[in-house]
Amino acid sequence: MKKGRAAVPGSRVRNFCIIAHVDHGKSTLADRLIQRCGGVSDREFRDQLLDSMDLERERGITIKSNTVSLFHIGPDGETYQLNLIDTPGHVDFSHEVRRSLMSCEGALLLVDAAQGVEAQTVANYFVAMEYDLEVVPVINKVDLPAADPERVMEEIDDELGLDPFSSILASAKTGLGVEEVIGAVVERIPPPSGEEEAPLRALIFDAQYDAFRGVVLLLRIVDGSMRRGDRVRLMRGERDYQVEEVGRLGLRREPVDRLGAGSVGYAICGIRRIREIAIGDTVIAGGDSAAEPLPGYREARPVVFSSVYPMSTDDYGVLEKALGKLALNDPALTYERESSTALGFGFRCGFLGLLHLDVVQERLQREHGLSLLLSAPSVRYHVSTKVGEVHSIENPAHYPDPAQILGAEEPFIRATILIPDRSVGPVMELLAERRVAKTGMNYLSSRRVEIHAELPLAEVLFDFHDRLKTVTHGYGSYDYELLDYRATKLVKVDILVNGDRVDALSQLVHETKARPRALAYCERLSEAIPMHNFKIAVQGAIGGKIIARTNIRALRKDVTAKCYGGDITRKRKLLEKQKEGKRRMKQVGNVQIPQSAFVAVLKSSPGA
Amino acid sequence: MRGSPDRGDPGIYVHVPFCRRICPYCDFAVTPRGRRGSERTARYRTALLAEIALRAAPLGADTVYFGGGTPSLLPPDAVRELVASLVAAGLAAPAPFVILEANPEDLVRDEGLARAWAAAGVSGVSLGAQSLDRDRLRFLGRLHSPDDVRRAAAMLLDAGIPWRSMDLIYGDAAQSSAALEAELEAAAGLSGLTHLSVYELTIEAGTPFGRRAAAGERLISAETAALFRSVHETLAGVGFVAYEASSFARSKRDRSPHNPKYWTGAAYLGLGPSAHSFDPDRRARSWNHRTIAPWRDAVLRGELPVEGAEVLTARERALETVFLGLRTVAGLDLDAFAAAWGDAVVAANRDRFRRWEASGLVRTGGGRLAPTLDGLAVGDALAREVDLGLVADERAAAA
Ligand SMILES: Nc1nc2c(ncn2[C@@H]2O[C@H](COP(=O)(O)OP(=O)(O)OP(=O)(O)O)[C@@H](O)[C@H]2O)c(=O)[nH]1
Ligand code: SF4
Ligand SMILES: [Mg+2]
Repeated sequence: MKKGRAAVPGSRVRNFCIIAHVDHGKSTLADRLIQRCGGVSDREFRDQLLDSMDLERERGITIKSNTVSLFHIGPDGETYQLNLIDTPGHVDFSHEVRRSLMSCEGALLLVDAAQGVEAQTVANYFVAMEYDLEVVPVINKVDLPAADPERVMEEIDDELGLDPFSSILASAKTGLGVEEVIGAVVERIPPPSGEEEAPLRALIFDAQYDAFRGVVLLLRIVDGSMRRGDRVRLMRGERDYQVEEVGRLGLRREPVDRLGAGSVGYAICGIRRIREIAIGDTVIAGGDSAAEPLPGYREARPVVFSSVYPMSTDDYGVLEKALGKLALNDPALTYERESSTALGFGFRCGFLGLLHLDVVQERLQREHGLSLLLSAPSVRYHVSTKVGEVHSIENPAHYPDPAQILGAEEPFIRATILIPDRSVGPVMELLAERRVAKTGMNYLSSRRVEIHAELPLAEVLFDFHDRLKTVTHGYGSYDYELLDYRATKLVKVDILVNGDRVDALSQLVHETKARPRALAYCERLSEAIPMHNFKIAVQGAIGGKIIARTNIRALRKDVTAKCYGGDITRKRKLLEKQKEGKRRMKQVGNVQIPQSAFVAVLKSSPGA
Repeated sequence: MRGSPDRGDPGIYVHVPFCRRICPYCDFAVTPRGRRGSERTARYRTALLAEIALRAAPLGADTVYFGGGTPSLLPPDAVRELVASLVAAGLAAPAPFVILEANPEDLVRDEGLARAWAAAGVSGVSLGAQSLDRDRLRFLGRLHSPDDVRRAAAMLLDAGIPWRSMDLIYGDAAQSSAALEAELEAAAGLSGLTHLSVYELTIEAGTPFGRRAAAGERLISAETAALFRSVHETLAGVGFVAYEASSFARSKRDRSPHNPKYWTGAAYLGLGPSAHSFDPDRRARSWNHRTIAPWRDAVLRGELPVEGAEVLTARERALETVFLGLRTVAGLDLDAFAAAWGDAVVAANRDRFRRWEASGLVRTGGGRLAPTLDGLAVGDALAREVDLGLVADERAAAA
């Protein structure tokens, strides 16, 4: 084990994160800071260094927060330890931001000099305020031709109420202003205030899974210290563990002798399963019964659900293993086994949002070589029945008999939408289409408007972001938080093929969306089901009531023109081959539906 | 390899591989007759006599079918000689029903040809007309005119040839259903035809049409299902009743005495290049060398000119029975099927058959599964659906 660098006293530790709207340059600024502090050799360097997942690199987005400890010689000649956390910008991963903010004393709030303040800028700033952090505004990308730092300063003033003159003009691309950023981190962000001599209290702000070492806890030591050999207890888990290793989070894990109050680092304690721990839990000394837990997190809970089936039924086992592996590092991902008549065995999975779903799907496909089929995403409804039970239902398969249903509720969100004032009309129209319950509006400046809207989560899941961008000509952005459950008129739409229900295509939707959704599915399905030798009716139904219908015409001709002595062997072989191909199709009643049809129906966005 | 009442007596097929010109859609084993055509025909005739001698056996076929290629390029005396030697070798029963495929241009070139055939013992002629429309004939690369077809048909009647049939092709992209109907009615109105074979144009890889289609040209109508129906309905309206997906006869008597043997599992012996033979008792099928040279070399060496052979598994033969049976209007004989492959196989498909019946694809009754017109149009699709999992699929050692 390599000997660590001498511990930096708490007064010279700075814990900070970089927060911003999507794509404003957090990860790029992190690169510059790492390089400036000599955290990486030129040979090791690559862009968005902290985005270590292939997927993050390919998509150019941050999915998980990443922590790195940097060292910097301050103006006083002393060594400072700067613990930097790069956070994701996308709303699906906002819980990561919250977690990161909780383990810091300060935050760099990046604002793109061309885009200005956007919805997640505001949302993340407010969370930073909630935790009482020192916020340093950084106007990034000033090198862009479209950069307009004056306007952005105004927005920082008007929309965030921050002192515009406290902001630093920077370009993470050219390196302009990076020194100044480091200076501000050292001077403006306070050191952690923990008591070195007090009993141990550490916050688990993240965890990783290492195939060899088990669970790696990422910790913020609030009080006391932690060293190898200590016995520690996870308060919520009510279990003691022996600390095997503590260390600092460089680009790799760097073991150190001890982690002192205020520091950020990792601990390995022989924990084998990630489910044994809870992010947000407090680590205390073993046997300490008097400790008060630190304020924890709201745990990230899945809000979007989809059934995931392997294209090849033989891959069910592979899928199960793969999900288990992903869930190790992604506690927000849930999965439970289910089966469909049409698609065989699969899993009902829960996600934080559609981007999360997308990311998980892509990792399953890429890292585990799986070919998958996903059902239409659904939110979780509350359905109350006449016998007085309330069911949480996110799977159409579990929807009770409508005759037994008293009522249903669906999750509502509060969306915060930032737009130029000339887009108010179109955005209001968009919201109306999305069953908005309540809107409020205030001018942030003479040209910029903030709209608050309460609307169903199900209505923003699909193409809301794209539509918002379209109607605002690219200038709108939004953020949301879950609000509560409200009464809704829910129906279950089934898709029937010649009268037989295709279970994998059933959906729970609002009454008013049932018909267009059913029709869109019917149309796509009829296009994708190949010729059959009889007419096929594809119908959308609510219970016994047909609400949409398309027909697939009876087949084209399917008989060889000529079949005499010399043709028979060839023809038979062809039929045998085709019969084999048919075996691989999914059978619904007397209709064969190829997998490609499910893909065609499910891959495209719901459209209605 | 004797005949049996349910399959019919054995038949003989003789392949004549020459054509004046190769049609752009054709993928048969054919070769241009060339300038020294009569010489090549003579050598072919010698080789064919050698094959007959090699295969001599008491088969007793009641039909001899000269197909091609263009059998009308064979001189009538060659036809007479070949039939005589088939009878002498025991392969054909005495006085078999002899059918010959003929191209209209050969008939109109030689006034006496039809009579000469009749005199040589030819009882049936199938005229390779393909169309009665000048432009379509050109598109199909044919050498004759619509008028040639009319005259050829009249000659057959005059010559007293009892079974007179004509082949037609439909379904090219340019053909409207109205034009198709008009052509069919014209064909049916030709003097003295007793039988029609009407085929959908099929694009085969390796032919000029195959290459054009591969290059993206649309040669086939998008409406083949409608056209198929139109063919059957139009012909029924003018007195030609379908007894198979592509075969129509004025009356039951006028059905081809030869072709149904293929669909009912009768024995057949194929002679000449590329010809196939089938022995139902051994479930054995074999086929001759496809091209003339290796075929002729083999027979002249005294060897069977067989290029390949297979002994079908029970399941393979059952599948053939199904798809061939479903081509015919009489349909699949379920009792015979159950007797051959087991009651359980039929039972395993009962629900399926019932669904087909409910969808108007078949009629069941009288122990048969008889396709309706809709069913006939999709016979292959139906055959693909039949579950033959209960029929043994072990390959018997080739005998
Ligand atoms: N011109 C210019 N481009 C920049 C600058 N900083 C970042 N970018 C570019 O902006 C894009 C987004 O940068 P990232 O660093 O991935 O942004 P992010 O905020 O981490 O994005 P998320 O993690 O997805 O929220 C990349 O294409 C960067 O190269 C800058 O100062 N100037
Ligand atoms: S005449 Fe018949 S056999 Fe000869 S090339 Fe044309 S279609 Fe083929
Ligand atoms: Mg990033």
